[in-house]
Amino acid sequence: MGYDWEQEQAYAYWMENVCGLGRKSRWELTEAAGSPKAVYEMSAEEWQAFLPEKKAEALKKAREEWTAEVIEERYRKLGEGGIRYLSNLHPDYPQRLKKIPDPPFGIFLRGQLPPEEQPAVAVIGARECSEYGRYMAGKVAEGLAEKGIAVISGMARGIDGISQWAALQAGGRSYAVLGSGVDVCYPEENRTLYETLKTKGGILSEYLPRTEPKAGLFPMRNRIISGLSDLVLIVEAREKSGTLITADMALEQGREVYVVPGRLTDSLSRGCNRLIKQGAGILVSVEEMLEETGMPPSSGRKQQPDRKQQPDRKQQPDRKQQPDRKQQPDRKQQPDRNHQPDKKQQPSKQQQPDSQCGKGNAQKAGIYRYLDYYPKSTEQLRKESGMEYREIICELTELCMEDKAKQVSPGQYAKKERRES
Amino acid sequence: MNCINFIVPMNPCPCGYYPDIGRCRCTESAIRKYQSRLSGPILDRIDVFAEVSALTMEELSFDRDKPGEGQESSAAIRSRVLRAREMQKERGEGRFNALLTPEETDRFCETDKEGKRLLKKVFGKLGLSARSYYRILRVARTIADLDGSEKIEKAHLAEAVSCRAPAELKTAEAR
Repeated sequence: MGYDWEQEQAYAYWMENVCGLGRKSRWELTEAAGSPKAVYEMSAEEWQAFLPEKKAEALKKAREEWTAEVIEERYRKLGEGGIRYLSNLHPDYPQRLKKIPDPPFGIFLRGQLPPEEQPAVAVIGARECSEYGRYMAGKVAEGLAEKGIAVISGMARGIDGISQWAALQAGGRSYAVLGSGVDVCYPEENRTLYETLKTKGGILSEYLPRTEPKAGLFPMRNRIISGLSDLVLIVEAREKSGTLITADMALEQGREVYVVPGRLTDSLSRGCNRLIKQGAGILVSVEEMLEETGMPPSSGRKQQPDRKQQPDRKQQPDRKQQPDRKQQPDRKQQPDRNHQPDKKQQPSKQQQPDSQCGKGNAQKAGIYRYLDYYPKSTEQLRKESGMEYREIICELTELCMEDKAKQVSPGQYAKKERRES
Repeated sequence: MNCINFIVPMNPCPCGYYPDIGRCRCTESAIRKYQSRLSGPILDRIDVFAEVSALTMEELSFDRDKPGEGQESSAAIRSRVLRAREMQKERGEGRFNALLTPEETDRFCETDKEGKRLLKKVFGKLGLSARSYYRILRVARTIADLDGSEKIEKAHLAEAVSCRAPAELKTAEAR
């Protein structure tokens, strides 16, 4: 473009530090002046002519405080602190971000940037997720990592953190975009993930270092999460949730949105199911999702025609091509167990202790299949399985010891699936 | 020696609905903070954790004297309790199971092969302290007493284990 981006970087960093100057103003000023350094060299009158009073004032103050030497020094100090700043002029500034409607003026970085040539999928969802969401987030992220696909997310509690951690555990790379400065670990409980991301991936933020996380900062960072990805996958989302806003942003950016479907009775799947109605893709397996969206390396052939570019959510008729995939494999598993909920059981007066337990593996399979990822009470399990209370407790306790189930509360149990790492 | 029966109600979280994710609106940290008010040592000294769920309309209006399918009348339960107490007083020479010494526990709380197998699994998985181990045995002994059973079966042990503080209550990082 003519100017020396290396020199300009420090001035761009200065612009980031002008309090009260928004992203839009930064872009506009740079465009008008030609480069960040040129902005710095504008006269106070020129600023006043271009911007509202308050912003011009802010620029003036900032220039007084930051002389050319101060700028160089502070920019250098930033680098020494392990934080890279990539203005939009930097050759490494992510190409994907350049193309979104509202790109960040610059990005702060700890660790690595997602490589341009590596496909990336954003995995996002509810902070308070269900056991099912927890399981799916991990499973999907693991599958993506195994295919060499980067996982992008927000390092938040719940789905974000789980998927990022699973990707890293599977030997993949993951990148987090924060709603705070890159040097602020929020939430604190994801500290280990944060530290690991520094070396096995990257941590990015649009915000100045030391910026504390605040509610208003999160929606904007979500556009960067989807902006850095080729595809956005939503694992769980309530009907009116921030995650759904990210889905909107993704569509505006021309990214495809996929969801993990859920039960109608799960409020955490309501947002996802609703997105399906509006045309989002349904995840039935990581392989299929990658194939359908033409993402390498799963199939090798690029299905470009399927890629949805339009912001309005059209139905994707090709998805419904595989009616045979709708088999329910579980049906074939229990030929002998008759499920008769209204069968009159013996009043369970706890009279037959000897017959209850330890009949071997055939019975062990008994209560397990009535368990689910969301918790069920022993009473509910009794009604559904028709088994005796004692029998159920016996099997559940053993399942807990074998790590196949967990006792979520004194009377409720949920399935626990262990993934091989 | 003075002995009390300590029975207290407790909510699982500030709103009371956990783990019903559909209804519980508490953040995970709020839940954890709430539950962490019971420290590990205290949890270890409580023998039984039980949960009662909300009643449906039918259950509220049932006839106490005519128990339905799978139910016992309060009177029937009462007689079982009284019978168990008699068994315990005899066995413990006037003391109930809670006051059995470790040596007495070893003597009276024998279990069969299946039971031993389960105990071993439990011991390993939960990393039980000696105190917890003996507590489980004594609770299992009481359950067997309520059952009118001389021996402690695997089922009694399993129920005793299920009565302990659920893992989620105990660890900060539950998963």
